[in-house]
Amino acid sequence: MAAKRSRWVLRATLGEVTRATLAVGAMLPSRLTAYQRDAIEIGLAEILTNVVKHGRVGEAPGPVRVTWRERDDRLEFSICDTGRPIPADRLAEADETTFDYEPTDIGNLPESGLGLALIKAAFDVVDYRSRAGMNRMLLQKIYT
Amino acid sequence: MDLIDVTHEGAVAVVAPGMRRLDAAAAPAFKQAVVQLIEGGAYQLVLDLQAVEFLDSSGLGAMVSILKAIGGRGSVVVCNARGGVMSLFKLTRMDKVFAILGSRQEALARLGG
Repeated sequence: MAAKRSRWVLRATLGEVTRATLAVGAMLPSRLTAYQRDAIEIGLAEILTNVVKHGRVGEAPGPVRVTWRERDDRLEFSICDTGRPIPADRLAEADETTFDYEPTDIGNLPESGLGLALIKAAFDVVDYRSRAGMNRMLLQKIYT
Repeated sequence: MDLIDVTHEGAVAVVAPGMRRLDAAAAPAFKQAVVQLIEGGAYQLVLDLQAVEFLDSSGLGAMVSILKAIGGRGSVVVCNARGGVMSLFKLTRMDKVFAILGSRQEALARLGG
């Protein structure tokens, strides 16, 4: 079966993130469970929000290219932008231990910083590269 | 569309977000509106998520900020979280932080409203 593919270019604004994740959510294949679809929509919202909030601080919104591809065995997203890259150590450290806070210690509960761990939780493959001013995050969900 | 819809049941304020997507675009204004309510003396809060279809870490962070704004002065109870919204609470272990009840009536009963 030939891969289905779509591509969008959006401006790096939070309103565009909302519109893009809504559009992707409506396109997700029915072979995914509702839980997987929800997790993917959240994961995409988190990476696009990260690009907007941290990638272009004090700069005009730049273009973000989102490519969606459905293969036989997996769903794949590629998100490319030209903002500040995600620090490698932050991405490496983000995993399920991010959620290991003490739930009764209200004063120290995280109000932010969960996004990268949610991206990793949503996808089977998370590959991030930054080179020559271009960042590319490749996200894959393998069908089981 | 209002940011929040507030109804009072005795000493309890029931807050229903006015948006279907509580994401990074909506969370700051939502948080500000609820924190203003708290500063006005509403320390017993029910957050009714019946209308919320999508929640991301920014929306969740706003709820944590609301919890911190109340501090030891009162309580926050969440109700009507479903689907992906409930999944996010569980995945991030925020279901251990917030009391999450199935209906507004149950949430009010928890707070004695």
